[in-house]
Amino acid sequence: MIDSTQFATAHENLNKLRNNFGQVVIGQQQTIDELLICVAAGGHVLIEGVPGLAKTLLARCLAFSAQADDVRIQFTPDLMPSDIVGHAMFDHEQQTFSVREGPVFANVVVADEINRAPAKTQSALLEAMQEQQVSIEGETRALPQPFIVIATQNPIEQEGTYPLPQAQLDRFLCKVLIEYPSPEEELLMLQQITHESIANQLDLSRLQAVITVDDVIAIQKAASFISVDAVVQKYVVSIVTATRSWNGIDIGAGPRGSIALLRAARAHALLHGNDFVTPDDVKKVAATVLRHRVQLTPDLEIEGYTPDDVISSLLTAVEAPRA
Amino acid sequence: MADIKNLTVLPRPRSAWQAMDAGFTLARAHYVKLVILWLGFSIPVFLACAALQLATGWSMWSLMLLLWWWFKPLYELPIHLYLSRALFSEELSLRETWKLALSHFGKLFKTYLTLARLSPARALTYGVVFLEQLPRKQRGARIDTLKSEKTRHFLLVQVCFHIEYIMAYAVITAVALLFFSDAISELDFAAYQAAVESPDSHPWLIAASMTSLIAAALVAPFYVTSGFLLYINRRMQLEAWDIEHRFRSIRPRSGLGITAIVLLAFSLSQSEPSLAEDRASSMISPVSANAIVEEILADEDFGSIETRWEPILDFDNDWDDSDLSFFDKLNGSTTTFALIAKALLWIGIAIFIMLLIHTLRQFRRPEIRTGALSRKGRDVEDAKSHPLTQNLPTDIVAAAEHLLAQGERRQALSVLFRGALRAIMEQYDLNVARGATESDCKQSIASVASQLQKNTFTRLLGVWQNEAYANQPQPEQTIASLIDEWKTAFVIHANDNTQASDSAL
Repeated sequence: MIDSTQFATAHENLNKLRNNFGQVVIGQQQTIDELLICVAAGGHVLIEGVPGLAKTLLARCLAFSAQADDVRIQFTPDLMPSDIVGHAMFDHEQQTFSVREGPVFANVVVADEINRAPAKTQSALLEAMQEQQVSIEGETRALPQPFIVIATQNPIEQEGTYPLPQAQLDRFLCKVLIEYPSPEEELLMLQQITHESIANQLDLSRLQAVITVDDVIAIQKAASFISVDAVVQKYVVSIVTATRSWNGIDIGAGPRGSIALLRAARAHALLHGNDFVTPDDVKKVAATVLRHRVQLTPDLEIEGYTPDDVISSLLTAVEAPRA
Repeated sequence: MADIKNLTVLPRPRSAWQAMDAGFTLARAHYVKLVILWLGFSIPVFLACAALQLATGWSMWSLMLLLWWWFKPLYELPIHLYLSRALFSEELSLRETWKLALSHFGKLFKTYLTLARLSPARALTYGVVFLEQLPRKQRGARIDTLKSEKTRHFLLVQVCFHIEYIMAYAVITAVALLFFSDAISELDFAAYQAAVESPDSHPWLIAASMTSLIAAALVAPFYVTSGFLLYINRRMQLEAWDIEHRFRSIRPRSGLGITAIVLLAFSLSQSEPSLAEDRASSMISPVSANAIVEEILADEDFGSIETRWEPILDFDNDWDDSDLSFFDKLNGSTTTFALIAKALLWIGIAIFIMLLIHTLRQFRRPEIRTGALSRKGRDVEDAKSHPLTQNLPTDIVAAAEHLLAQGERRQALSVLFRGALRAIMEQYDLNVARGATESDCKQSIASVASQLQKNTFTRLLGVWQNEAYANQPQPEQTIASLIDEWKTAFVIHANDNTQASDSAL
């Protein structure tokens, strides 16, 4: 259990992060909130958006704000699993094999354009995401905590990509969609980024470290202790099971979807300062948690419907708790 | 070019089989002369090949036979030339025939002693080459024309080939069995080369060559004559010689010297030799034939016109109307069926047009199209059917106070929350989604409810959520005060509605 002070601190730290994002990321509040929900829930996030919408900036901002180690891995077709998790190499001086850890040993790992790498390499990263550890030459090594993977993929230019299988998409707690900024936000962006700035370097000078890595872990711990009433849990299950028999959904979310939905709802409640989860919290995070876990029927895809349309229809019809 | 009026045969179209039968009959009639004509060129060639072979040795004896076999068209040429002249009333002697054949040697060597030697239609095409004497290009077209119908010349080749070689090897076998039985028993085919080179086998080789020569000489007249008559038969078919001949030769010619050929003409249609001979023996003489013709010409029927009457049916006038009574009975039914079919057709057209309009409407107005996400059940409900308002007591305040008195704070707050929602939905005829959560409800009523109602509803939601979801028991005083607020915000309006309903009644 956590006391009210710990909860308040966690909520305050989460808000510090949220405000700190606003120093360099203009607009995209929904995206920032969903990213913070993933951080608080201890999950990984898949960000989808066209190039130039601050996907990498979000990751760098998170790492900098939390004083965490961050690394960016550009996924390419020739990227090997050992390029991510590390490999054993022979030390001539010591005449022994030593393990050289890969870039995955960081608190925040940005897997840029994850769908450009072959399935073998994707699996290596996804295994680390699930197990929070990697095995190199038979030696198991735990990954640093917190360990958050922020993967990005481009919805366009699908030629030569390796789309993530449904089972691997399930490892991501949320799938965040980044939309274009509004004209006002874009104008503000121009004024801030081009002023006293060289080239296209990410300007993180206005950022300051607001929390520590331990605070992130405390946030995650606080989120996990948020109370959830039984009727809300049933509501979560009702939503997820509805995806399995819903008109327009070919493959629904699995049990991991229910778990992720509840974890995200807890994080959402924490983000909004509530120490309990309401059906509203569940409903607010349902789309970001479920959109990559459902597969639409071909006729809906042909007609241009998105998973968000179907989930919205589903949430309108599934009865909320009433007693 | 020979004139058709000198034709010594009675031309008429025959089948290929009949033509070949006639060829065999003709060959038999002139057999000796034809064999002599054949041997006239074949024996010199045979001797020449034999001399060549003797000079080179006995081991290549079979090559001599092959060389001699290759020159067969040369031996057949005199037979063909003799028959062609005899057909047009010109009887050649042996000497004249060979002399004529020598004049065609050049053409023969250029045509038939090349690869054309292997053509099975050789006997059929002799006439084109040596009688019609067409240029090379036209010759091919002419031969193609002759072959446009089945001439069965390939069968003729097969028959003659088998007769010739069966005869040859039958003679060899018979002679061997009769005179050289010991040699046959000792012959080892594995050591064929050694046996051929041995002096003991020389009699065998000579016997084989001679029997081949004799067999070919015996068969050749039949082959060449049959091929020639196949050619003549095709020309009769193509050029209507029979009609032309009848027009030109109403009267039989007198003084014909070639009686045998006339006899042949009548025997062409007969395949059985005995029957042909009977026909030949019963053939009338030219004098008696002339008398018969004179008799026919003198007949009064000759040259007269015969009128024949053919019945022509006129269905319009000759048909018995009584036969149509059955159709008259069907006439009314047919009309009825046609009317029904016509009505069905119009109905089908109307349905098609309606469907077309319906489809076009949906195509042009996507908002009225039943989308893929539409479901049978409604997603938005009114106050009577919404899940949140089901199983609620009529008197919300009394029920809440009763539950609170029993310590059922959660149930009391649930009744107050859902009762407030029902009151607003009824008062403002508001529809709320089935899946609406607390904040959704608050948002829904925000645009219609009074400020008092919104404030009370907001406070109620907060207390309800703390009690229901946070597991934080709310003080009874707080709930009691909420009941009082509820009365003020919702019961008055409910009473107003009830009074309005009563006055209306």
